[in-house]
Amino acid sequence: MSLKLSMRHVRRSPYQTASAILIMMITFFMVTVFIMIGFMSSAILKHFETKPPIFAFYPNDTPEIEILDIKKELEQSGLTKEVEYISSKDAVKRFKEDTSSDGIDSTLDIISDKVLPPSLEVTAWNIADLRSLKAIVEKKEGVDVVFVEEIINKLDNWLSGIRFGGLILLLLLFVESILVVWTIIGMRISQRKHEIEIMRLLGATSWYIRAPFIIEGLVYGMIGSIIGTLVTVAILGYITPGIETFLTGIPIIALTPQSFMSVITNNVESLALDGVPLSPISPVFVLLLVALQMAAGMAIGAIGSYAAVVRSLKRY
Amino acid sequence: MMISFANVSKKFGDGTYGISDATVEIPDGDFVFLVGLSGAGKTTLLKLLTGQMRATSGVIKVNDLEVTKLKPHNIHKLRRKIGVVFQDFKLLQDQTVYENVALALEVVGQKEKKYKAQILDMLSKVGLSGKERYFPAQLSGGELQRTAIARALATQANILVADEPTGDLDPKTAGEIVRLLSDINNAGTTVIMATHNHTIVDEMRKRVITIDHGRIVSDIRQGGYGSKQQVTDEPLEHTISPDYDTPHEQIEGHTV
Repeated sequence: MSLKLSMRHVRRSPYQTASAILIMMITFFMVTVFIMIGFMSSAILKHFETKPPIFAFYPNDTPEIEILDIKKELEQSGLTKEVEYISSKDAVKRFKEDTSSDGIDSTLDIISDKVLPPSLEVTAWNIADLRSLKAIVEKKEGVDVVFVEEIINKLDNWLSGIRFGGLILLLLLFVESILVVWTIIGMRISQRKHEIEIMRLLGATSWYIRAPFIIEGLVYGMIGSIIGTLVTVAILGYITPGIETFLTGIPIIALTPQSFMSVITNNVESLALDGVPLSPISPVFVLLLVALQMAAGMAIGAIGSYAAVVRSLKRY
Repeated sequence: MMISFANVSKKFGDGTYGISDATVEIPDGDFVFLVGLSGAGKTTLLKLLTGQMRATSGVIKVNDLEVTKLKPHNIHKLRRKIGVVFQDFKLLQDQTVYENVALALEVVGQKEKKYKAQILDMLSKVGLSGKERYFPAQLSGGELQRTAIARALATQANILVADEPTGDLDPKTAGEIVRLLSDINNAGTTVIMATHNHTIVDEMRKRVITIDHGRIVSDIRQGGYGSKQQVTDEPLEHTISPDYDTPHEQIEGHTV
């Protein structure tokens, strides 16, 4: 009966209904976007964390023996876990392997061992020793040393900023959604003041009068969150090939229920970074995302409508 | 079912009394007219009875239910025992006669399968057979009030409270409504009707409780409008002649 009354309210004021659902939709669109950013940033960070911390690129004309001497010296220092020498030929080979699936094979011909420099990839036992190791690799003039740690820190700062900004934005959107539902349900109660008065005189319980309004809030939250989430997933599915091309070489996290839980629990270590592409997005993942967002949407709807009911129905 | 008011007062925020020290008992099956000037306290008394207002002091009981002690979330228990009818009918304009009456049964949790026959029977009793699908805008004043009465009694309430039910009706229609209320009373329902209509009160010769400035000033069995004789053997402290706007001779003519 309460559901029937709620649906009657919804049908009779389609514009108010549309505005409530729209604000919920926008909120959950943004929530999903930020969840996706969370996934990808975790994946990108993880990718860099698994890389050797120091890359030393030597000029193309450096004799291989000199680089191997430096490699030997690094190994003898006892500070390194692993030192790998990548010759120019190896670099070209690696590049071709990484990009072979992108359909740009024809352009690879112009990339020769003259283009890519020989390099050393150094992994230390201890991050504190990176400075000492840097001093060794820099013994040869013209070397270009890249610290992955710096990249990670820079990236981490950027992503922290985005996450913080996103969190503030989402909080504002949540508050706005609650206020919109509150206002709309409050208007509904005012519009139905006469009916409520009659129902009370006829012996309706407090719950009988309140339930249709609270259910209405739940319906707004449910529909808005489902549409918002699905729209984001659809857009993501559409732009994924572009993201994959853009992030060539960086394995993008697979959108699986396991990785979802890893992000939710902030357990980045357990993320399955096996380079599984984003598409096709796992249906189980989408269902899980929709279910969780729907629960959040219904909670927002319930808070907004309950606040309206407590505030407005007291007066009648 | 017995209704009792024991030393009931209702003091408003501005310090004035809507009802002052009212004591009255209404036994099962009684038909009572509540008369008095506008603002005398008739509606306040009825609102106190139906739980729309809370008494400042005193005890109101409807059978074993102590109204004055009822918590807000339990008011529905009282309201299900009392049917209420108003001068302005309080019908939902966007619902049919049938739906308006059905609302009373829906709010108490009954299913349509069970109440459909009950509503048709009730509409037949109040003389609205064939008008089930009409909307309030399509009905006359008398028919609107009949719908409201059907709704008030749909839940088998044993008490019917009518606040100026004939106020918006022409004399002929008002007479019909009161006769309908009398029939309902004859079937066993207690009827309490607040009214200004002295013609009806005088014709019906039912119990008349007169209120003036919040006090019960007279309570007369088979009284008329403006009657002064009390129903009990004890003298009524506040029995005074109220200053009605009805011509004095007319009041005197019906004094018992």
